[in-house]
Amino acid sequence: MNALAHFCLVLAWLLSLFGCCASIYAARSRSERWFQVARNATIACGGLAIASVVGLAALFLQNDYRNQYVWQFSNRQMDSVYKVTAIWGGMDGSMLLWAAILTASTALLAYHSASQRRALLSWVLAIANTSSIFFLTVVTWFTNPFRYVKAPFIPPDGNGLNPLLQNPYMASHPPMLYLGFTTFAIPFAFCVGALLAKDKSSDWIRLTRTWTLVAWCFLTIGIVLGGHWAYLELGWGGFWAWDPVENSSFLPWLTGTAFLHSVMVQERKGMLKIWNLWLVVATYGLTVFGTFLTRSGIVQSVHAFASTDFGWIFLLYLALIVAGAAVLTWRSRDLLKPERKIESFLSREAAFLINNLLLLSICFATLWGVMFPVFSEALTGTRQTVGIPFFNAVNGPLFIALLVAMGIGPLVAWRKSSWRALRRSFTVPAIFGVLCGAALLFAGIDEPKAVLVYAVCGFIVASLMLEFHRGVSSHRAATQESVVSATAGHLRRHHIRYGGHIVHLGVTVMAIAITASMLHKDEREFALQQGQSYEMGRYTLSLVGVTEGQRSNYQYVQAEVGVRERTSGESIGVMRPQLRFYPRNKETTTEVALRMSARDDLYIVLAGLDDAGTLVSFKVFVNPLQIWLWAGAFIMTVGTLVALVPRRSEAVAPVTAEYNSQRVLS
Amino acid sequence: MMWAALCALVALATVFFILRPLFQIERATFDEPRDTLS
Repeated sequence: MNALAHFCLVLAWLLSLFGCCASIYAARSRSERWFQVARNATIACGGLAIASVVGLAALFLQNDYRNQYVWQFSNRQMDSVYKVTAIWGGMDGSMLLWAAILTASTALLAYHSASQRRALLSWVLAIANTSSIFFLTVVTWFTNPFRYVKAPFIPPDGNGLNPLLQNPYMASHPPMLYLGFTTFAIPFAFCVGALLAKDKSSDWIRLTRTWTLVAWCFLTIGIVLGGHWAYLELGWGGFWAWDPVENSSFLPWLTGTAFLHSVMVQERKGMLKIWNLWLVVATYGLTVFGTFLTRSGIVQSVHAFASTDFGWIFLLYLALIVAGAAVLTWRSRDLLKPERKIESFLSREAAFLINNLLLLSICFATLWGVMFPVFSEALTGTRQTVGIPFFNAVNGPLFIALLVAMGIGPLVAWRKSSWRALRRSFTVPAIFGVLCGAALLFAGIDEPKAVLVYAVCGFIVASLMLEFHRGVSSHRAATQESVVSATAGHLRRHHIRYGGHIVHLGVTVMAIAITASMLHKDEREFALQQGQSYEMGRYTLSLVGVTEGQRSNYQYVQAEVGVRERTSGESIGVMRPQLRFYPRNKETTTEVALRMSARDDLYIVLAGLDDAGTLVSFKVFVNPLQIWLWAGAFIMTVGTLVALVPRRSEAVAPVTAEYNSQRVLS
Repeated sequence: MMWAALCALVALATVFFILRPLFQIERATFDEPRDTLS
């Protein structure tokens, strides 16, 4: 099995090379036959890479410890599910998964390209295959997960997976991130391919809308799942620590979000072409840079992969991408000339530009914070790091400004808006936002930043509702339909716009939750003996007892904590935080006890026991509105799915020779 | 031996799948109307 899976990987690598060459030949000779050959090679490459991952999964499930990677990251006691997820438990397997998802995405693109324009698609396949070549080269020649153990005997059992990674969120978080990262390679390929094909139209934007949205959605879900994992598993009561690994996924999300917005300006107005080219290059480049960051060991992270000695290859690839994009920008300067100019500062175009500048400012600040230890060491010889306060202090105001832009942007007209129209759109939402802020001040919230964020969020929600109400009203006036059918009809007709608005609503809900959980968090450390109680916020916690036990691969100590309402004395339940010891890995982990509610999360960590085992130490957090962070992410996903519903007019046109050659200069 | 035979089979099937259009489709460029022989 090991040999077959390895063979599939090597064959996939050869096919990516062949697919790239065949695509370039097809693009240059404009040969239909060679286009089909390139297309088939790309599809086969994806299939073989997936077969290689399936082969590795089979090796894990069969406990085949002749394979070094299987031996290193699994053992016989692990559940079958975690044996499969151990594929991305280490460097070699995660790179294989990355390459497989990338080639599978490219194969899907090739499969659906039968009815699209060859002149454009052949260049797109060439670029997409170039990405595949790079990642498959890394997997095949640097991080091959199909190496045999260097021992004269077959080991009877494996090392086992890090206990922190034996978690449902770790099973889903990395594949989601990889899906997001790799799917962004498709808009990148289309953007660069369109320039290589000298395609004057903005058709590639329409063709890649789904890919861009899907990539963004996967990346969002992946980041949030990572935050949820950190919240549940790491036992520090938070979900985001601005760790370099977290930041490496957040950076392409920021540029990807900027691209999603500014590409609409190019599609509608033919502006910001160079800007969009560089945004998509930056998004793709930052996924590569993130891989370099986490694999090279140049920055320290709590959950980065071990330092490897081939980080330079990612840097070299990144340099090639940037140099290639620079040459292409210069070569295609005529194609990239804007068709119009921004006419007014009071326009949707200007609002998108401001949104982009804010997103890129956050991106730059985050990148600076991540790289600061490297720069400081290079300049002063001493490695200085920046922590959570730096990121919060710099990015906090930028996020608030971004929220304001998010509230204003969708209501400003394209091309030009008048002050009168703006007053009409924003008076009611602004009053509602101010009232929200005043009500919260009156209710006793005296943290200015929190009041500001809540007021801005009130403004955004009111502006979205008002815009929707106006849309439905005008639809009703035009069609004389009932409220229900007019609402449904209006939503159907403008689902992409309202998908975006739902995403904005999700962001607003998340902003409220993040602000509440950061600024109103209650955090205590205390110790209890059996029968003793401790009052915290609206809860009374009492230690009922301590038990010890053993499971198949770990031993545990468990505290039983009775939770009651402080004022009424009503019992809420019993919570059971644990300390776990994994003898094989010689690691101790905390298992958080969590009670989620719409109002707050009660989060109990068993910090330790004294030597006699009678005094139990706890770390307890009450995180207000925490659940709404995850709810906001869910709303964002729903909004993206609504926006992804295809337009009725988007039925794929049949290919004709005329269609294939239209708008192509050469 | 069995794995080597399987690898050879996979390689053959892949080559056949990829090169099939060279024998099935007439010589044509993107700009010309196409016709498939199959």
